[in-house]
Amino acid sequence: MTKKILEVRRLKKYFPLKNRLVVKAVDDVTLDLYEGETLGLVGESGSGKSTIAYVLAGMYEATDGDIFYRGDNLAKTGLYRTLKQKGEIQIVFQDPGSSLNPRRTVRKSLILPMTIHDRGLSREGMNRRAEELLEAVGLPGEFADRYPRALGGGERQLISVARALATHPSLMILDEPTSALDVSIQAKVISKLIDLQKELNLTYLFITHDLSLMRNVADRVAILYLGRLCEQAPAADFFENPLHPYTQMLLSSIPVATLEEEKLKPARISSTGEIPSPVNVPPGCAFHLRCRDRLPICGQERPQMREIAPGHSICCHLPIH
Amino acid sequence: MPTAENKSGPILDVRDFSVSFNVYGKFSHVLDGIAFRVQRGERVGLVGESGCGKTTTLKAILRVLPGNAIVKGGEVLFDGQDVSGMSDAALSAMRRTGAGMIFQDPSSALNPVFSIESQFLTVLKYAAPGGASGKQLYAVATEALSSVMLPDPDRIMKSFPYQLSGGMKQRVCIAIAIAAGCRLLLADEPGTSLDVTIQDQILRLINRLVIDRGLSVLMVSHSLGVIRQSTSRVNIMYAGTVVESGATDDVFSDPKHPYTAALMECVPKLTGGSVARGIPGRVPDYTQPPKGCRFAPRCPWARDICNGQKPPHLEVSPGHHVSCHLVSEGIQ
Repeated sequence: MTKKILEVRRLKKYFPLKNRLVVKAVDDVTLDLYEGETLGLVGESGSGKSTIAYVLAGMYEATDGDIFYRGDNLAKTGLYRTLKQKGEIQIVFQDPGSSLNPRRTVRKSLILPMTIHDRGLSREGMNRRAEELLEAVGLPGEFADRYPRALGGGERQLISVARALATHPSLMILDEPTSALDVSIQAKVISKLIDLQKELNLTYLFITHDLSLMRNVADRVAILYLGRLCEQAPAADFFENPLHPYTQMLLSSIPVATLEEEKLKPARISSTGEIPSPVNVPPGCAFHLRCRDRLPICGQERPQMREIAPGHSICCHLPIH
Repeated sequence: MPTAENKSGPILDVRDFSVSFNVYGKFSHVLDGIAFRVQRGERVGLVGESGCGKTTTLKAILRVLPGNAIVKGGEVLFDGQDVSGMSDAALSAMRRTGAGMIFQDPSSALNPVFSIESQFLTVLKYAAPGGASGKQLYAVATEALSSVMLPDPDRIMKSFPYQLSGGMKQRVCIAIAIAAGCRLLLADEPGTSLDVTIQDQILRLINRLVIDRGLSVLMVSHSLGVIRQSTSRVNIMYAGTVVESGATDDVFSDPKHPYTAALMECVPKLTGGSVARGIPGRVPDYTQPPKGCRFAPRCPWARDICNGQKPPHLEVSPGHHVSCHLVSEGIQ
């Protein structure tokens, strides 16, 4: 857990609109990923979580900033990446219904990445590898000749995980991999992902809006609000002692199923207001209009990340009690 | 606006209700003898995973099931009247002012090409035919909009749905339902498509309306957390059957049915701990549902009797009912 695999520095991704308006989907995000860990990236809709995923996966070009992956700056080469880099950073999308081609059998979907990344393999070898991948995600080999429509949602998602594994990745970007699934199915997929991480020493960037899930999966948690990070901490520390007012509001809004969890939530902070449009981010701290403790400075100056405890940093002007 | 009729007894009483669907000649037996009640002023939850028949139940209450649905038995009583036996006039009265529904996705519940004003007034005109003038209706609408905490109702009335956020649209839907004078609010996953902070606001709003207006609520959700926080009684559904019901706190603190217990375990907890392995197997094929308990094929404790016979409906403690052979035999 000590070696950094990915260093994201002041990453920006802007989307220009008409009339000189700009959507600042990701604005100055700095993150580290350590080998073998799971970093939970949490935020509500429009917070820029998926944009970060797409930039890191090489689907969007970064507007500014650096992405160091094992020493190479991926941001400097635009969308160009070497085959090795592409294979090592893989992404799993939210909806397996649309990320798997409905006209390809599972076998074809699994073999396609091998034909690009593993050209040396014979057809037979590819078939064998496809079956190994199915076994790795805990699915029976006979699924290879089925079409996605003949599989359940959880099974389809495991197929997309298997496809991502086909290129021997070391970093997996999981973009809301279970939010389209029922809880009993989600539990299956998550426990499989945890097993795979241990077996293959994978590093996960786990993107979600579900904080309760993060409590059980992530080693560290980073909270996004309107394209900016507002808090980053080791998971245990984070859930015991959330410091940013937005994080506290988020935690106290979660509907929980047991009384023990209720006790763990921060004192009730009524959620007020709504997320402003990312085209028109408030000046100063992006959250200050919804913050009940705001100071005059919050509307004027953008706060910087500061470290409060080892590994626990927040982006907030308020003094910490 | 019509006032609540002074009747005692539950506002909604679903009795041993079964529905099958004719899918190209194959029969899909979805609802299998479900039963539950909503008392006046009560908030009742219906929880289950996708495909367990939650939405079919709601549609049956409003009698808007699709044409291939066949009611196999049982009845749905709204205010003591059987919905399937209602005359057209009574049915339309029930839909106008008796039961209001809010949907999961407020964006598709509102028509994108009409202003909020025009949609709102259409509903109100239908709810009180020939009664009030346009001005009066407009006043009713703005009052309802401010009662759901929407600032500047006049601006909202002039807006089109695309100009409002998801949370605002859901508030508009709630306002339309309550302004029409509904007594029973059918809420189909009202916060699921919204962010947690906004979902929290919507759920608190519904809770307040229950108190202020004496509404009864049937809240349908797949989220145990949402149900725990916003209902006083709960019915757990699995594959078209109600497997457990009771006071929400009782059921959640001491789940008796193996499915309820397994489901509770699968929900990631804020307190941490390990991740459950999930429930093995999947929801049964409704065209050939299991003969006995519908959960038996996935139940780790299933015995011969579970596969052969329907489980009895037992009261384990006052108000807490379970349908399970294991409980009836005292094995737990």
